[in-house]
Amino acid sequence: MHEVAGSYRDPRGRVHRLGERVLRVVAAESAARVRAMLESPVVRRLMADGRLVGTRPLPDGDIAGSQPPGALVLEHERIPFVSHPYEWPFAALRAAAVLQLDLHLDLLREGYTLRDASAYNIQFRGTRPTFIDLLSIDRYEEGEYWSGHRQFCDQFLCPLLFSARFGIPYHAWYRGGLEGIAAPSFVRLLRVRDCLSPRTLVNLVLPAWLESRARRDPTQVPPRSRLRPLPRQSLMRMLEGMRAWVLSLSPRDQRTNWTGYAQDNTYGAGERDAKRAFVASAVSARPRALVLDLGCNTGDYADVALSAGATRVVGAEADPETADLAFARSRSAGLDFLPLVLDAVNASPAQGWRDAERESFAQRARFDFLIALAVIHHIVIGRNVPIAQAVRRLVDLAPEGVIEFVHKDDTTVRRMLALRDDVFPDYTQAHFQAALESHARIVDQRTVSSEGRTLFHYRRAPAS
Amino acid sequence: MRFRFPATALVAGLALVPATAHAYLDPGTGSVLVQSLIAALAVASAGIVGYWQRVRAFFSRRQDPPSPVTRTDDDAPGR
Repeated sequence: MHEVAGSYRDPRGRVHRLGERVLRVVAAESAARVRAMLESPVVRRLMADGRLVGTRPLPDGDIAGSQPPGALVLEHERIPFVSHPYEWPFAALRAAAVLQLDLHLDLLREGYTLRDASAYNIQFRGTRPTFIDLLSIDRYEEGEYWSGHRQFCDQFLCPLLFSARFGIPYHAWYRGGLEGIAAPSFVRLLRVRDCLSPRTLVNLVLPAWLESRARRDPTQVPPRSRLRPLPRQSLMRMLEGMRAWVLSLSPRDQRTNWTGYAQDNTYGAGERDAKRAFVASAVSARPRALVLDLGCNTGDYADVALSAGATRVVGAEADPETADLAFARSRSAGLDFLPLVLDAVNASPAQGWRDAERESFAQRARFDFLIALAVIHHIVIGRNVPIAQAVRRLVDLAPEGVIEFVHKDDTTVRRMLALRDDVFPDYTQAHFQAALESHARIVDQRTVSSEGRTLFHYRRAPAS
Repeated sequence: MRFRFPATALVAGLALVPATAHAYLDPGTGSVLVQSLIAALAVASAGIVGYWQRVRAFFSRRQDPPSPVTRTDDDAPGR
């Protein structure tokens, strides 16, 4: 049993992993309170409808090892793939924000509240967000403030507003800062007329101004005991106002190279059918798989994989807008497909406290099957990665999968090389195949386009 | 609008003034201070609404014949 690095913050309880199981050890002082909360009707209802992660207390002595005396051990339902907010497409971050607010409102109606508003407390099953940090739920005392307001602004509101207002993806800033986009920094980007809206004024501009004033003269900040109580109705109105604001946000409309790809790509319908059939047959050889669709575009092949027997698909798409479309498509079709904003050449690193608080993509990549269609040329020719390294990286992502090789005389590659020197003498099918065979066995291969695009179904050698 | 614009602009402009000192401050300080203002406004508006209801009740009692509704008002706490 080992402690999850990201759970160090809350002294009331820590998360541990025991093999595939996820346990939370609650300190003795909080055990009775947590037990009562678990039995409350609102918490039971939230668990039943999937908005709160399924949790059950374990009987004393059920888990071997030395627990602190009086500690309560809880077992949580396992989340199949842990993702980070800076990997979520716009619609996913918005859905997580709405869940955070809805949960808070539902809890307040029944005498509970949420202590914080960290986006990391939310995880996705397919496109459905679920709240995972049980210990954020606490008894509500009349007059309490929204203690997670600033965190909500940093981790949800400002990133969403940043993309909605400026049309720039928030992912790089979020990943760099780890805790979102600090509200005072965001306020500096706003023009005067942006600040005119009352909600911007109340939630962002005024707090930033009061904070900078208090920074100059900290004696102006009253002690907690002297703060005027906030009526529950006012707190709920703040949350409801924020909910309406968040729901009204959408990314600035921009058609990118990729969003039209599924419709405009360079091969015809017959070729696409051949590609789908090959992928379906390869996926069906490994039933109930967790599949990674690298370069998932709007999710055509995620759909194929799920129809062919995959349990769930995680998509990696470098273009945020395309990932957002994929998310909307997955949600409307009710698929167990979670598209994330991830660049194959610069995936999320391990970061945070002790460089371990948030695991890297590679650490979380325990996939059963890889789909990497029309990706290899973007890695090798687009980003100058030697072909042997590119193949090694792909094969490392899953023990089995399908990789598409795109030739140099393919229309897309010719476009990529149109204004550049061709410094890729090794970019040939022979080199690709040799690299693949040094790590895996080629189970099947098929040329699926008139320009020679070839699909390879590989299975990794057991030793590698 | 002519009145509101300069006031808002002043607040917005002040927010853009860089902090000169870097004294340690909880990052939620601004949020807490705004909520204490909202709390004060809530108390003030509740007072105004309560006072207004008393004024209305006073006049409606003088104008309207007694009815079950006014009897309920008389039984309300605080009277």
